Amino acid sequence: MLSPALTASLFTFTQFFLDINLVLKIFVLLTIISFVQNHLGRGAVGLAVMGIFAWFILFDAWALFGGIYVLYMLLMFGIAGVMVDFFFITGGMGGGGQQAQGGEEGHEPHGHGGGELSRKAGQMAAHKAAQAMQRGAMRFRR
Amino acid sequence: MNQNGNIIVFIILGFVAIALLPPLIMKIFPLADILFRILMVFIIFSIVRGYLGEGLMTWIISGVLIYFLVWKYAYLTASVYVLQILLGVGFASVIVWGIGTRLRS
Repeated sequence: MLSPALTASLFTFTQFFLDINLVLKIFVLLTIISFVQNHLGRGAVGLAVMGIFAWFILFDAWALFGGIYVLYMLLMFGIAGVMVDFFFITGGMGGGGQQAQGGEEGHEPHGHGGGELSRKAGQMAAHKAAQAMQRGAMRFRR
Repeated sequence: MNQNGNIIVFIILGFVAIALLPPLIMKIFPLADILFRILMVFIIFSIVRGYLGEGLMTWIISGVLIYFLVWKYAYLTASVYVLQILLGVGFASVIVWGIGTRLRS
């Protein structure tokens, strides 16, 4: 038998989860309405498509689409960039920092996180631009 | 724990500290609490109106969202809102970079 305190905390967590689930569903519903309105307008077809989408996404396959929506929102907020910075700074959590201290060439950059990232991105962009210019020059010669 | 482990822990602690800051401020300064709640009401209503336009549905959905986000879970909403703003302006990268380079040197 669960203790009353544990039962209460479990109930609170379940309640919290249900509330947040409802809020998430409302935001997804708003997204569906806005998407269908932009494409089909507010006519009968639009309302029918809205209903089908809402039923399928919010009730039939919510376990899938809820996770996808959370992931989508996190990516929209730029969590991917933060993770890239995070793993550049920490060396991918694999002990790259110690390798670097020991004098070996690790996978982590030895610069300062974001600066190093932008330097590498700049190098890559310059390389791509040079390749594009070479291709253009070859086409011109032909 | 090695040096990388420490950096990871400190970066996570940094984010947790930033997430805890808005509820702390709201608890200490009641005026900040009220101001944040008013701000959130306006933000939620304008978001819903942006999606649905003017109408009864806008008021109903805004009411439900305001009840949950402003009344029931105001502290959580404050944390998430501040983190979202920081992520939006790219400040999270600065935090990761700052804490990481500070600990490495």
